[in-house]
Amino acid sequence: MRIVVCAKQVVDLAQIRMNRETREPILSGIPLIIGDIEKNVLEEATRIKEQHKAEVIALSIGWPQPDGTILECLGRGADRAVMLADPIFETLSSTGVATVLAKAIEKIGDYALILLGEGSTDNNSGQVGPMVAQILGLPLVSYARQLEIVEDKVRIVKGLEDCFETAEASLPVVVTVSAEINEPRIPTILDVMEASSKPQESWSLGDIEISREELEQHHSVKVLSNQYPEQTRKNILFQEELGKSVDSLLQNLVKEGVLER
Amino acid sequence: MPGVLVFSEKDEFALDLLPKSAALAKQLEMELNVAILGPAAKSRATQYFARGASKAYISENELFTEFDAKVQSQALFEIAEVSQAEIMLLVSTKRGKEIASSLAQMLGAGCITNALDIKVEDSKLVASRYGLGGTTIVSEYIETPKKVIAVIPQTFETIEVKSSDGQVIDVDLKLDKPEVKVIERKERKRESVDIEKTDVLICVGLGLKQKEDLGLIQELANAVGGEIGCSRDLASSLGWLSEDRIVGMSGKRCKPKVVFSIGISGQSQHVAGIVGAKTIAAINNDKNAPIFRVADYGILADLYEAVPLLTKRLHNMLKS
Ligand SMILES: Cc1cc2nc3c(=O)[nH]c(=O)nc-3n(C[C@H](O)[C@H](O)[C@H](O)COP(=O)(O)OP(=O)(O)OC[C@H]3O[C@@H](n4cnc5c(N)ncnc54)[C@H](O)[C@@H]3O)c2cc1C
Repeated sequence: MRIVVCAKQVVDLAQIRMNRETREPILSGIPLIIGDIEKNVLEEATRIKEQHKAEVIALSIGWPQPDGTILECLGRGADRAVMLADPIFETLSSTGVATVLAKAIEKIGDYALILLGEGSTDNNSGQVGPMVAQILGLPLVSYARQLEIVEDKVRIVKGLEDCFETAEASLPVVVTVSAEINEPRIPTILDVMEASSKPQESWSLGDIEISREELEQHHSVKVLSNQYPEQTRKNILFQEELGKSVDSLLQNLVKEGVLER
Repeated sequence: MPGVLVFSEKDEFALDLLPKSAALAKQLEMELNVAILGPAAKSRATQYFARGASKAYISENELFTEFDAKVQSQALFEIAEVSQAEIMLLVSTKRGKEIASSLAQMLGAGCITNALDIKVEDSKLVASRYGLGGTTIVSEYIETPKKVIAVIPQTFETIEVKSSDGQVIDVDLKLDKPEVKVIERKERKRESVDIEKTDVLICVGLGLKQKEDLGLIQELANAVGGEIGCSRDLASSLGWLSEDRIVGMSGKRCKPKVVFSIGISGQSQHVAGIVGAKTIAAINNDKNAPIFRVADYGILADLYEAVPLLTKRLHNMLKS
């Protein structure tokens, strides 16, 4: 059984700071790392591999080259990896990303299970999984909190707002997973060392038979602005003796009228 | 006439979205139509007309008895065609997002999910959403002829309804059978808390060492007459509190007078849920915790010392 894991590299959100004049995020120089949900996806793929005979292939597209993310995937249980890097990916909307992923998945071929996160750590739009399923004409099961392979089917517990649903679909299938599905283990030093010797391939748009013109059509959403919300917080930190700090806090809260006396 | 098509798998969410959609449709000089799928679709249409819909495209096809995202998006794809819809306004529930994404792919449309607001600017439909994990607000518009936007539930003011007439159009849909079979559905245990409505919110996070220590937090909540909310992981990974209490991008967005944030690092996805608070007070033992950067007041201390003391002082203060 072949499992394809789609992994997105994201900017390290904890390191972004605001440009005080424009209120825009300062993104230059911020390292690109693997997203959080990707770790759950890889953990799940690895668990399946431990129970069934399976090969896990990590797929990542991005710009600059998502080699750090690919290495992380290989350290977290993927057997081999495919990446695509192109400046056009930076501004591609979800339909475009899904198109590229779907083409790459087709080229990888012979897949039984395609796993993605339910939403990326940065945009969390939740669009790419359903779109990939649509393009490949595969069934889609989203928001998986439990996943089991039963013969030629997946059985999945989906976490929705008001209920948990147990759903079944025949392989091949696209599944998006929620963070609740597992607790990703931390790769050992050995895992990390082995990762760099596992096979990696770099494909171009030509390799997956997609033209730049076709992708240009997927610049369908235009960003007008991306700014920190106006923030007028006082940022006062009390760090004196605890009793005094607590008193100062309460005095201020009463003064502001947010605590009823 | 080109139209705006409103749909949600849940009537109440679609109905909430209608008054705003009606205003947008008017500004864009478009017709406001709705899609209603499933049992009793025809009789459900009246409520939609009362909130401004002109036409209701309905289908009571038995395939809609069970929810299936693909079946629903296929239906909407066909209805978009017959109703000449240019703009599909959906609701960004989990299911709503599945539908929005599949539909957008079928239509070759640009898609925005988790929209916080939508407005018309220079005759463009501009939507805003969180960016960079809730750190920023992104304002954007779709350039494709057809557009799909899913708005976070219950975002807009509701209006008083007045009964009004509309046209019901029963559409004959060509649908494929669902590929995913639902074998069981378990309702989630709902807690009757409404942390979105409280004036005082106590938010607790992974700074808490064990479930039993929630008692400390409850005592504080009792002392101020507040409700307890939490960070995601405390509920979804540890299960110490119900998921109804999660505050943040994937939980509740709260607007209390004051929030006490306790043992929470202040990552953007969480903070998105408290930015609406009038005042933010935080207790954390890490001077560099990001929560201090978004708080009005911070106390640098171990919560196990600070919380009992705070509770005691509040008791004395609010009693006198
Ligand atoms: C797509 C996506 C959506 C998400 N949505 C949400 C959401 O809606 N809501 C949400 O909350 N999270 C959400 N998250 C998760 C979020 O990124 C953080 O992981 C989470 O908020 C962290 O919870 P925390 O602050 O409780 O834990 P931590 O980040 O582990 O912070 C614990 C804090 O407690 C402090 N602490 C420890 N011990 C003590 C002590 N004795 N006294 C005082 N302080 C102490 C530490 O200094 C630390 O700052 C989302 C993540 C993703 C990727």
